[in-house]
Amino acid sequence: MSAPLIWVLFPLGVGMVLLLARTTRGAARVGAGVAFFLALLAWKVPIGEPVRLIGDWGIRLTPTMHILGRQLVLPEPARPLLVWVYLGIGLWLAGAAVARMEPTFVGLGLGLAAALVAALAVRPFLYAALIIETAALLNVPLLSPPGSTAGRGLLRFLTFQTLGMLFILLTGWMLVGTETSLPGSDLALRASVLLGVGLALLLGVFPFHSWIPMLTEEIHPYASALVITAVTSMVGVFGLMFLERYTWLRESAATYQWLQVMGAVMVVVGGLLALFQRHAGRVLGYGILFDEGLALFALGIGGRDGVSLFFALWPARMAAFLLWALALSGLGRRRDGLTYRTLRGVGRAYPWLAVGAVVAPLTVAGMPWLAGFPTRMALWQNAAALSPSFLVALAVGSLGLVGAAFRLLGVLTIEAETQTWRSQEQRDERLWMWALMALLVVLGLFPQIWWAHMTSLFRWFPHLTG
Amino acid sequence: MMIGNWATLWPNIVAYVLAGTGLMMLVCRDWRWLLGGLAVVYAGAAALIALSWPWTLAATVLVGGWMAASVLGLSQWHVPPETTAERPSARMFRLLAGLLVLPLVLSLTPMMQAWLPVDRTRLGASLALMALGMWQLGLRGQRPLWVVGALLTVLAGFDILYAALEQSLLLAGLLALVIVALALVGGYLVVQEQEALNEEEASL
Repeated sequence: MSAPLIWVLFPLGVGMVLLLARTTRGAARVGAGVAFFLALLAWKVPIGEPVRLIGDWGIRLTPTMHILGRQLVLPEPARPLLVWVYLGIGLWLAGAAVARMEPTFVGLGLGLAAALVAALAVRPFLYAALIIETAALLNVPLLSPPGSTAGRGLLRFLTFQTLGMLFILLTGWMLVGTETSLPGSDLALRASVLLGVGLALLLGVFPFHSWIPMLTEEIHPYASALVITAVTSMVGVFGLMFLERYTWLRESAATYQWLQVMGAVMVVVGGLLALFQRHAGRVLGYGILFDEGLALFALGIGGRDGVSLFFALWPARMAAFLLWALALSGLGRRRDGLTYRTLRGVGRAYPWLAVGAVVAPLTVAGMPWLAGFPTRMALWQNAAALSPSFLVALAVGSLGLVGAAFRLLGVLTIEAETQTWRSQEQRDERLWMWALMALLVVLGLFPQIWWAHMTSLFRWFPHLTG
Repeated sequence: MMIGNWATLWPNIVAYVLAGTGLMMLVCRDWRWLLGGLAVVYAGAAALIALSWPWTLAATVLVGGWMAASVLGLSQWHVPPETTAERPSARMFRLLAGLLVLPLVLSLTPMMQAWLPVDRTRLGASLALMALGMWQLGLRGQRPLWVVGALLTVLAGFDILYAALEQSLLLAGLLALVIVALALVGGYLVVQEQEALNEEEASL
């Protein structure tokens, strides 16, 4: 049995079957159960080594699977990634019923996770661009379920993903046989520019970022946050694969300088623009942009530290954006929209949702005691060592996001029509808010629980971190 | 002699037809012209791709493109025709904007040839289609049909270029799959848009 069969084809098949589900709750139970089971398998079962099941009977998972003349490869060092991907998607799917999503959300979400894992597993890895594009196309019904209308954000998302794919394919052709060296600096420059533009389009890097806040404004926050965080996280790993593979790119100082500068710019843009929005969905979009900026900055640090920090951002991202999206889903459903005008005072009737909507951006900004703090602290230290201006940029971005969180708190609580406080959330919503906030505190106070596991992913990139 | 001339002449004719069709798709407002144009673009793209690939393989591009145009056409089945007249100046603006692409392509092609080992005809046709598709995205990026039509135009241009560079069968198949998937998504979004408009009208 091969690892890609278990972690790619099986969830893809289950996702397709779940598209037939009639209720979100039932689909969520099955989908989340399958995802958690796959996470558990990835945690416990080594790839490439025999595992004893009963008596002398056992199995051995091979890392490679051949398909249409190409390979899907999931080596042993990729296991922590599989754990976190399926743990994350399991949590999102489990929360689908609480967010009152369509039943098809679960199947499409599981399919998205499987497609993105396939994108990272495919060899030659340039095929990943096509798989990511296919995943983006297949997720249009998730972003725009029947009965809704596609806005400009979705069309822009489609456009940028398609154009990004073309740039990556062209770069791939240009770089054939140039793993260790490039015959001329002109070619290196052209390939780097094409690759940079391609990845920037796929990731929504400034100045190609407009689709992210547009998407979170127009589309249900639960669906848009899942798709954007999942796609951008995986495209980030895809970018790491380029660095791992091409020595000239990995050893160029300019690569890291660009990553640092673009990361800092995105942190500033994300944080500051979040502060000036009047739509809670757009703030979520800028929060995602801020987090992406941190990820790019982490990569810009380079070496083992950079890669470790890049992956260490994941647990907080997963929990914080889940909390944020769930809280906004609940609030938006009560007031038929997420503009600040419509949300005025709603926090007094739904205090736990309001707290969730405020705690999540504070986590992303790096508030102490919360899940984002340990990695932000490490990033701030690295930024200070690189240049004080980077530290200032990260601080400005964080302050902007903190400001946006407090502004939202003001909107939700101060301008109320009624002065009384009364929790009117449904029981499942309240439970999810408590559980996720507790998770954020636990992840923040005890980073040793997850840090080693997450940062061990650097082993997947031996050249980059060696 | 005649045959030799024809062999070098027809790709040029196809390239100019492609550029002209791309321009027509940019200028016109009726979806029938857009989809008819797409059918011509993919036929021309397949013909140019056949210079690098066997005909049987180049036919995948043709089939994929025509399927895409058909899917988009089916989504237009119940769409009422546009009733509001368009200002002639708007059409003229798009025509002039599209014509600007031609000098751009003519000036860029020799430079791009230094980077990409593709003959001038195919490179020119590819750049023209991609540029006109991008114009379309910029000028009409608000409605699903036109956005998907523009993306399909860009993809047709890219296909011409990429086929000359890369000979992978699987890649060709996957690109054709992306083209059809994009059209399916476009059809889905067009139907959604139409349903929303119908509901709006019914509520009025």
